[in-house]
Amino acid sequence: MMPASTLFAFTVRALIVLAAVQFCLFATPARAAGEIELTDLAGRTVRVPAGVERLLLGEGRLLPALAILEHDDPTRRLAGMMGEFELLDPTGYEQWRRRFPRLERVPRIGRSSSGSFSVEQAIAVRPQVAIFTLGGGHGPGDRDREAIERLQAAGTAVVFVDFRREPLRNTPRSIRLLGALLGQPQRAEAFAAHYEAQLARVTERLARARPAAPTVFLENRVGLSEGCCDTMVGLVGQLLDAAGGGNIARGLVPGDFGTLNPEWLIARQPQVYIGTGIGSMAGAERHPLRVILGPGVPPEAARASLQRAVQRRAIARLRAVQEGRAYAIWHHFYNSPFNVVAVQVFAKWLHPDLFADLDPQATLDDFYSRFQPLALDGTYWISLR
Amino acid sequence: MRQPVAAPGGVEGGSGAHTAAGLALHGLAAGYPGRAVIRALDLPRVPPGSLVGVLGANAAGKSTLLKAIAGLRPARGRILLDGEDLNACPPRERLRRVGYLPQALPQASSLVAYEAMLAALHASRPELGRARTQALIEAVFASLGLAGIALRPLDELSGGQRQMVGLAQVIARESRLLLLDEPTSALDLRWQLQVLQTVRTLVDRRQAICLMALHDLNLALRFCDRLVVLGPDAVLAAGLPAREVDAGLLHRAYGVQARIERCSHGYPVVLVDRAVDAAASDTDPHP
Amino acid sequence: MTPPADAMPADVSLARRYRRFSGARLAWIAALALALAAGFVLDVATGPSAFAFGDVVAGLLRPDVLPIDQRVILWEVRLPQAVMALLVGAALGLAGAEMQTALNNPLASPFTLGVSAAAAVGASVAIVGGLALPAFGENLAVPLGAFAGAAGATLLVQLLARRYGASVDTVVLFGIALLFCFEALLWLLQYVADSDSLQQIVFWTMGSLARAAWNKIAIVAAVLAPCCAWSLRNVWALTALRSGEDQARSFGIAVERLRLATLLRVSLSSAAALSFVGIIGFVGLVGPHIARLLVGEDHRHYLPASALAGALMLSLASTLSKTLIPGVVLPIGIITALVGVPMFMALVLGRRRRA
Repeated sequence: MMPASTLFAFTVRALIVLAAVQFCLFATPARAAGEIELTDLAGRTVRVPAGVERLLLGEGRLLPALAILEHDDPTRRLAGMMGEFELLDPTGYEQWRRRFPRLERVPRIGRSSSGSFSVEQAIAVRPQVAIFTLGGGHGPGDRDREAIERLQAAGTAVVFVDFRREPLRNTPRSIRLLGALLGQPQRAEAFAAHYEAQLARVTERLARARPAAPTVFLENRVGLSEGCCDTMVGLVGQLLDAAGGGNIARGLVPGDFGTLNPEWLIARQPQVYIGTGIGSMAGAERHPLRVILGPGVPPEAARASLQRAVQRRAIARLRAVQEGRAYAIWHHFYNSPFNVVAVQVFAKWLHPDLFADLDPQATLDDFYSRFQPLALDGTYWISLR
Repeated sequence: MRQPVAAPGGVEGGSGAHTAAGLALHGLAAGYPGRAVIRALDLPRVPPGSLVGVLGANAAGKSTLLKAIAGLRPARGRILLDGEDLNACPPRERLRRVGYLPQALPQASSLVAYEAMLAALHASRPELGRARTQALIEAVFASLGLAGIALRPLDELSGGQRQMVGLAQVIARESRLLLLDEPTSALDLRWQLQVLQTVRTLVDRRQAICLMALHDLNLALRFCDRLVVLGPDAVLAAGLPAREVDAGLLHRAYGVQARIERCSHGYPVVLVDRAVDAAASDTDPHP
Repeated sequence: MTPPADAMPADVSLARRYRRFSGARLAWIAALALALAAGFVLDVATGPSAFAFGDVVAGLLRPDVLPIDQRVILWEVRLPQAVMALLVGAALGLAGAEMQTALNNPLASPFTLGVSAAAAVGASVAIVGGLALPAFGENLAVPLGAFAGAAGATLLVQLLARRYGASVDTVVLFGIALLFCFEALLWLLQYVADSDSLQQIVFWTMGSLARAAWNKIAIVAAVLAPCCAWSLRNVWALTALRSGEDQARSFGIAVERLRLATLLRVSLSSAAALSFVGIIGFVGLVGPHIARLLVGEDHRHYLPASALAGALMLSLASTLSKTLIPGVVLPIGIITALVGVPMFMALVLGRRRRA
């Protein structure tokens, strides 16, 4: 016969165990087996199946982000994608297509503008999860209520990520979200941690040293329009801000981008000129004023194209150009999970002494070798001299 | 009936006290903002069954007069139809009594003549049922000889045919007072005669009153009982019997030297010799 | 006048001849309705995804037969677009017919008085301002903005016309002035918009049925139904107006009041039609012409025929927008312009040859 104290102790322990078991059973909300609950970048709570086999990409350019998590074959789970990648960045797309020929056969659900998105085709490929980006205009966004509702009615979960609205804050969040979605939380965490570390190298040093922000004219998509002076405040402009640059268009341009008056620009004489490059080797003759950057571009070609581009009347008069403080960067950093490299590049250009030890090329090499199935190849930024 | 004097100015009209049938005008004045066209027109009572011709040079105010009586232009003075002042009538009531034919022809649309009639009657005589409306249209078209073009669209008709359709629209209203503004302007010789004959017959049969603005003096003299002649600045005659027109009146009204002679059938015929200066006296020979 | 060559025997009364005549007109209206039904079915049966015709019919009658994705495509994507095309086309056709009568001009359209430009400005203000007005399960800010813009322009024309005269010339001149004014405002708004909003604005002005949904259809129908009923009450007065403004006035029709009321009604119904689908041109211009060619201008026949012709045009345009470039749905405003212009030229040249 047990002593009363032992019986009491046993009962207490049993009650504790029962309580714990009950807690485990009822604290978690009732969920269908094999479902995960996520909160996406639009603040929506979404339930997705645990093992996703059919994905829909609302922007083809989400492929590199997907590849961070699906190292072997990011095209494996693609049921459909938007067709803007091959239209806006043909060289980049070509790289991916050569490595993963299956990409060619993935059904397209639209072309390059969000208006061309066909919800019918999206439903017809029967995806389990659709990944869209917030805004941007090259794919369906958070305001396309009908598209979202119809996809959900057809049984597809819709998840929003963001690499452009708040690139530095949302890139790691988006990767973590994708990691949870695809069942690769460790890889996602590895990337996010590395990203945040690389970003901190710039932001922390800037916060300590607090150097004066040199005035910068950031030209948007050099050579796209005949004349001059498209600039942007959002997109790449946000990367510029993080690197301690003073965008002269701040407060002047409504929204993310706009056009400045060339006379005003010449009068203002910014200390640094940075243009974004959208040119390609293949299109060099047709678009002689574009700056050629990106995969497969040799540095000489990039430099030559920048030298051509700064000879335009309004730009050639800038002291920054005459004194060699003119640079160009790959435009698609605005929508890339590796945008932190652009921040490092800007930091080095704007504060060369402060960041003498920073090597953005090494950073990019590292990112690619660890997180991308493709080899890094080409020039992604260039300076005039 | 009193014989009115063939001179401008006020003439004693019928008294308003006892309900005298017919049309009378007292001190009618109408015009446009800043421009008085008719200053004070007094028309002695015209009995029912009369056809009154309104004559005058261009811009003398014939259309303005007719519009004023129809209520389409503001007017001062009294318009007594069967003893009641039309100006004091509510518009609906006025419309029932007065049928106005505008100077402009019905426009050339793809509406067919029959439909134009239906619309006109629907607007002006909504109380008629479908059967009576159809019978009425049929009768009017028959009397005007329009049965053949009844189902042709207006844009396929000539100007004259359209004018006939317009006339049919106003005749079908069977109103007490008919105001026709140059109803023969687009018609050929034969149809001019036929229209005037038809109107004459209608006025006689229904004992209606018709005021008709005309340019053709011979038609006016032949068919009208009385005349209203508007000069450039003043009313030259009001209620003048047609046979009392003389060359002096024509000179003052139109600025022409003319003769009025009797034709072999006894109708008065106006022969215009030449245009003269309106200020010259009618006895001066002019080179 | 020469005796008519087609002289009818005296015993066939005019009334009977007219009955036969208008019977032919009614037959044309029935034919239009039939063509519309066929166009509607074609519209529902075409689309970028593979959908056998038999499945379409089966899915319409018994939705459970289809798998969920096909069911959603049929009932939530294709049917709402097809029904919205019908509604908007009918509204624009009807509004165009009334406009052409009220302004006595065969080149008038519901947008002659600047209604579409004003609607675009209203919608753009809502888009740029990022306004949100959730109601009936919809963000009504943009459609309400469009409607408010159009209503504002309409009221402005009405006020000006009441003050300065409602003759045709005056009203048209006011409308043109408003049109230019609103277009300038639209450019200004596009300039200050960010890229997101700009694309939305541009897309809105090109017209698109892609966002049609059942609750939107209900809202549009709720506004159009009373406008339709109001039109029908005026058929006789409008017909009378066709025989001439002076004539109509002599029958006792208050022409200015009729004109202003008609313009108000036209603006309201075209604003309602535009609010949810953006600017779709040419339907309001060409639809009435087709109707006029087929059934003449007795508005008892002309107005319904215009509505049917407009609906048929837009239904066919919707089908074309889905099939012209495989895999891409073109904005419908582009299709109606591309198809409408040659149709319109053909009509104009045909008229000139006949006249």
